[in-house]
Amino acid sequence: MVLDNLLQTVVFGLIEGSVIAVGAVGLTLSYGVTRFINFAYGEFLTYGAYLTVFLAGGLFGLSVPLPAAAVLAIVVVGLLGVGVSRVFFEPISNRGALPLLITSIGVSFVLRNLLQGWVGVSARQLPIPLMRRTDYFGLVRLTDLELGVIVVSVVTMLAIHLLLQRTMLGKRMRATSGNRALAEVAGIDTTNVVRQTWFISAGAGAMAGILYAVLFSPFRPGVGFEYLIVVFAATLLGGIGRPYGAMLGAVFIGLAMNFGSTYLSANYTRAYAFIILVGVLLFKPEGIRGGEF
Amino acid sequence: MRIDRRRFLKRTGGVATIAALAGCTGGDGDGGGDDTTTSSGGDTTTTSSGGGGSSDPLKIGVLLPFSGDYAWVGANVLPVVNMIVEEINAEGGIGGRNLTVVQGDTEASPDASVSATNRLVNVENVSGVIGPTSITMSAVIDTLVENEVPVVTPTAGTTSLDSRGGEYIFRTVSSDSLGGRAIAKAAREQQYNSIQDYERMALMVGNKEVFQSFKEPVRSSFEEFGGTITTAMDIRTGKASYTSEVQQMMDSDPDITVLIASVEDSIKITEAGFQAGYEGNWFATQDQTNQDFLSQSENQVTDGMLGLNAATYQPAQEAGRLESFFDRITEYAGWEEGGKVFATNTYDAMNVMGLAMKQVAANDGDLSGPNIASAIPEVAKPPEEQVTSYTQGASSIEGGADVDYEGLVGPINFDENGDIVAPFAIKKAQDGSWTEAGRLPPEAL
Repeated sequence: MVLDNLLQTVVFGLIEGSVIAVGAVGLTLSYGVTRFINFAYGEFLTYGAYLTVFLAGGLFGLSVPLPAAAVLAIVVVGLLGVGVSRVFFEPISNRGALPLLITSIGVSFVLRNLLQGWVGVSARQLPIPLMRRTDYFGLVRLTDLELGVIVVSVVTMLAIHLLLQRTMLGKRMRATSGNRALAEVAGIDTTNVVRQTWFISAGAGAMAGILYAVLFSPFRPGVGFEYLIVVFAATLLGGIGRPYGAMLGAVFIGLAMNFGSTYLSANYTRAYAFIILVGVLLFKPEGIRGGEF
Repeated sequence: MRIDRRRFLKRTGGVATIAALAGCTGGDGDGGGDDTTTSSGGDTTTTSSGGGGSSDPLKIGVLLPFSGDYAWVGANVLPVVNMIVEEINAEGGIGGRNLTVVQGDTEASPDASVSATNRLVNVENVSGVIGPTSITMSAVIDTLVENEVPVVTPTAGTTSLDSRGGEYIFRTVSSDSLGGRAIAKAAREQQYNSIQDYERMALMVGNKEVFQSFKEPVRSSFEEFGGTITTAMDIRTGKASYTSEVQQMMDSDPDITVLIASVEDSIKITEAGFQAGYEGNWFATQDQTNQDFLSQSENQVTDGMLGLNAATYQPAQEAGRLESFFDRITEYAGWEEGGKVFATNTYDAMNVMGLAMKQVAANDGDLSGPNIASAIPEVAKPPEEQVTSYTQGASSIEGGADVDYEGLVGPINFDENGDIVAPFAIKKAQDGSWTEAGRLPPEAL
């Protein structure tokens, strides 16, 4: 019974950690090349979830199957990310991090209220079947969807790993992140790299939003902005700008939230993420995973 | 011109930034509503002294949420108030003065409700108030009582009113303590729930006053009726997931769980229970016993679930008064159905308020707060002539009769705390709709 509960809590932690990981990697990638914290990132989560609901629900005239709707939503939000960056962030990119940060807060308000004005504040759900958890090895219980979330997240992490290590774009991204001026001197079109990174970052945000919607529905237009805090915690825990750190941080935060909820009090779920974060910032401010990337 | 535009942009930009920063610290809602007048200074006792000549309209304040998550409450109540006010005005008003309706938006938040109340009381000088809800009652009750404003609320079931009211505050909705007792009774005895005698009960209660108000009545009554409470958990409202809470509930092994929470949280909790293989039943309060909850949930989760509702008052139904009210309000407000939550309660509240004013005017009394308030229990109290609508009651009052208003939700006889008793219905969810499983008359409690 005790062991059961412990394992089950670990599994719940890993499930939520999977969602956070996708979000945190996206956020940290954009920080890596732009060097400012994008508060509008939470809206990418929200837009991802809502677009999927609408595409799958046939709001735009045709009803797309859910997986296709999700992929489409990710691409659209990716493009939205590029658009947002070109309209709001590129023009002031040489004014330092603070104006960019403040602007991103404003952008997040604009995006959120646009969505709210359009669809209203009522709660939405993805059209997915509700399932009972099945027993695995008599130890842990999972629904197929929860298992799916973990698989999708792991595959995404692998894809981002391959992107960073094995592709030219990944190398350019790492170079730009390491030293933008030097990268430019070396002949890298950094503006282009930044745009491509925005696409990947916003797309990852959308995917995190969709995974969140699969697990935690119903949701409202404020969902992304609220969850952003948790994503931040994971990102900072891993050391901001470091994708592998973000993945590790996300798992930590997911576990912390679920262990706290199960063994201390379920009323403070998100507070546990912050206790860990504050501890890390006090004792190891560079994040749990020091060093490059 | 150019400078103006630039200045304009500068200013709006500044405002946007401030707004953004304010939101950034967020979490505790948009504390808006403070922009409404908070002119609390000076003479607050001039309320409805009627000094401005007798042709001035009398104002009725409707103090309810009209925006936010609980906007549906205001939307259900306001048309009914307007309809009765039109009826009163068509009958010649109160002592020759017409009634007008003034809205005060509480946003279901204590902060906003305080400024809305101050505006109604001190600026609009309302002669009576319909509302508020349980959520904001404790924030505004002192202001209303101190300013001698008569209040008839169709919406506040909170147990905090059990021992208050009767002088200025009245309600045409059953107290939660009665509702809680009804839940306990109905769960305990198969004759009311049509399923079984439940022995072991868990409670999951949202951590807001409106939910907490139910907790003690359910718990103590269920134990009094011989049941066992396995756990009584407070849960935080608005969380993303309730997996841990549901696990904890299941560990206590109940055969029924009373769920006292918002519709949205209830959906999450019942689904989490389904996913985790919970085999007991659920019992919901009036808040979830509606179509809104069932249409957002899956039938496999909600089938067999029990819910509490105000029952139709038999005499009102048999006399066809309920049906004719539904017909009238659906036509007046353009609703699809007349049986919306609080609609009948509002009909009774506004009729009682109107008749009380009529009584004061007929006695040639000053239409002041204390006079109207003391007339409220009078016009609803037996014996003498039973009336069922404003028009009927007004002509009886003109004829010099002592009227007894008989309502749609019950006989509407206020006790010393301004409370009423009304019957309850126990509903059972089946294939996505609620069917009646049993009926609990007030005597059974």
